[in-house]
Amino acid sequence: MFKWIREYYMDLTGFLVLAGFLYLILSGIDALETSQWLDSAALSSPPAWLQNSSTLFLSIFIEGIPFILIGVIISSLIHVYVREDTVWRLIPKSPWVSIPFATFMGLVLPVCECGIVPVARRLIQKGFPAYIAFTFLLAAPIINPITIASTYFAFAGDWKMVFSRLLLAVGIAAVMGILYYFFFNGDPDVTTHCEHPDRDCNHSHHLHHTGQRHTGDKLIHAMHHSIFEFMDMGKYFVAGASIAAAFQAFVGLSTIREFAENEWLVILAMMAIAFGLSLCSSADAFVAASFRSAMSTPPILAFLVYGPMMDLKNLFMMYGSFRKRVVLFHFAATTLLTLASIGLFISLVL
Amino acid sequence: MGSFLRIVICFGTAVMLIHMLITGELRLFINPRFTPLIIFSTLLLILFGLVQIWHLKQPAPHRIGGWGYILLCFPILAFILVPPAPLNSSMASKKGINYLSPEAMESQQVLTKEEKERRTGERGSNDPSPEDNSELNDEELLSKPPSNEESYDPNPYYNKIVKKLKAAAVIELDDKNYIDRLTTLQMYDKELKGKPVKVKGFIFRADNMPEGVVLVSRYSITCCTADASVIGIFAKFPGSDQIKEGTWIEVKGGLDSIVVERSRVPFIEAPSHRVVEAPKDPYVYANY
Repeated sequence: MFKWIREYYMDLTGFLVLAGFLYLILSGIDALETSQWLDSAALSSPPAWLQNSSTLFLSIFIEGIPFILIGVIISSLIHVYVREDTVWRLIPKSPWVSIPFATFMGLVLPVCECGIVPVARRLIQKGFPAYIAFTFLLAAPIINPITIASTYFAFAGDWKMVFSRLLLAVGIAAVMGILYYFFFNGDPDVTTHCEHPDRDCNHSHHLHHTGQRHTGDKLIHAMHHSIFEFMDMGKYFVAGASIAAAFQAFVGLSTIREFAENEWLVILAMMAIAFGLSLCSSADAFVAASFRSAMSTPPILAFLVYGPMMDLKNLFMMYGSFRKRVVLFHFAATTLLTLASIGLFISLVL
Repeated sequence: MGSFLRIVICFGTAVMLIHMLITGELRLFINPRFTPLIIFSTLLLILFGLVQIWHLKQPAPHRIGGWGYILLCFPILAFILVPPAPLNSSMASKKGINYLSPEAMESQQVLTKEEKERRTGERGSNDPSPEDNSELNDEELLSKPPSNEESYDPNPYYNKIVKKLKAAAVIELDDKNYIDRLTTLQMYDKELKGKPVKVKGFIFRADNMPEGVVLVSRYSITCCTADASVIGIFAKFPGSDQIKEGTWIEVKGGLDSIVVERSRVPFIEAPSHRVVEAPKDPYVYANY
C-alpha cells in the first residue's frame, strides 16, 4: 500500500488538487462563504487572550506575506540570473566607497524589513562582501521612500524628525559596515552551513545547466527555488510573529507608563518595545507619533531607529540565515550603537 | 512527503486568503488599501503550489525540517481554530491612545504660540474666528520649509472639511470620514464649538481621564491590526460613569473641549446615549 502511494503520489496530489479546484468551480466561490465546515472546527468560545493573540498574529502574518514573497522572488531572481563574476565587476573594491553606496541602496531597491533578510543572504552567497550586505540589511528598511514618506506624514511634516531618523540610521549602518569589514572580512562562513554535505550551498551545480536553459525554464527554476526560500524564511517569520503577537497581547505599549522618570530607562524601554512589537517599518512612525505628548524626542527616535533594524521576527529570520556568532555580534553591536547614537544626539542636538 | 506538505501549505494559505478576501474578514487584519498586494500574494502562492506539483519528484534544494512545516501550518490552524474576530476592548488598555492626530498636535503647538503672543499684547485680542483661521494658516505656512514637494498640504485640506462641517446641521462621524473629521474637530474645536456632533464607538476608560468622562473610541489601523491605536471623542452623559467598558454606544451632543494629558481634546456632553450593536467592521482605516 505504502509502496503504491510512494510510486503514484505525484499523480495522487495532482488529482487531489484538481478535485479541489473542480469543487470550487462547480459549487462556486460562494460555497466557501456559506459552508459550515470551517465553523464546525472552530473552538466554540475562545478566551479573550487567545482571540486577541490569534488576531494579532494573523494580522502580522498576512501583512508580512506579500513582502516576504517579494523578498524571496528578488532573491531567487538574483540567484538564477546574476552571475558571481558580474557582481565582482560591479561593486567598488574599496569599502570606503561601497559602504556609503550600500546605505543608500534602499532608495532604488526598496525592500522592507520582512523581505530584507533573504535578499541580504543571497547577496552574500553571490559573493558580495558581508559588510555590504549587512549595511544594506540595516539601512534599507529606513532609507527607503516609503518609510521616509510615512515618517513625514506621521509627524505632520516635521522634517527635523525625518532627518534625525535618517541620519542616525545611516550612521549606525555605516559604522556597522566598517565593523563587519574589520571583523568578518574574508570570512566566507557568514551564512548558515549547508545541511547537505554532498551539495554545496550556492547550488552552483544548477549554474552549469542554466547557461543552456531556455528563459522559460530559468524562470520556472527561479520559482521552484522561491518556494523553498519562502518556506525557509516563512518558518522563522511565523515563529517571530507569534512571539511578537504574544508580546502585544500580554505586555503591550502601555508598559511604557511604568518608566516615566528616568530618560535613559524610557529610551531602553522604547527600544525593548520596538523590538517586541515587530511593527512594519512603514507603520511604526504612526505608533511612535502617538507618544509625542507623553515623552521627549530621544526615546521616540530610539524607537524609530532601533525597530526597523532589530526586532523579533527579523532576529528569527537572521538566526535561520546566518551563523550564530554573526547574529549575536549583529544584535549586540546594533543595540550598543543605537544607544551611543542616541547619546550623541542628546549631547549635540538638545 | 516534503513536497506534499509544501503543496498543502501553499494552497492552504492561498485558500485562507481567498476566504478572507471574499468574506471581507481581511479587513479585520489589515488596512483594505493592501488588498491588491494580498491578491498578488494569493496568485503567487497558487503559482508556487502548481510549480511544486510540477517539481514533485525533484530533490529539495533546502531542507525545511519537520518543525518548520509545523510552524508554517500555524496561520492556517489559527484561522480555523479561532474564528476571526475584531480586537476587543480589553486590548485597548494595552494599545497606545492617540489623543490628538499629528496635524492637530501641530496646530495646537501653533495655537499656544499664538496665545502667548496675544498675552504679551503684540496682537489684538478680539479677532473674529475667520481671521483666526487665516492667521493659523500664515503661522503654519511660516513654520514650514518653503520647498514643499508634497501634493498634500494639511491646512487647505482641513480648511475645506471645516467649511463643510460648519454648513452641516449635525456633524456625523461615519466609518469612511471618521479620521478626517475627527482631526478637523481636534484642529478647529474653537470654531466649531457648540455644533451638535453625532458619533459611534466603544466605551474606553483610562486612569488619567476626568471623573465620569469616557472615550467613545475606535481602533484606527495604519497597516495591520498590530499597529492599531485607540482614537475617539471624549464624552460625558447620564450614566457614563457606570457603563460597561467595551459597550458600543451612539451619542449626540454639542462640541466642547477639555484638557487630558496636556492636550486640548474634543469633548461632548450628551443628554443621553443609545446602546448600539457592534458593527461588523469596527475599525477605521488611515489613508495617507
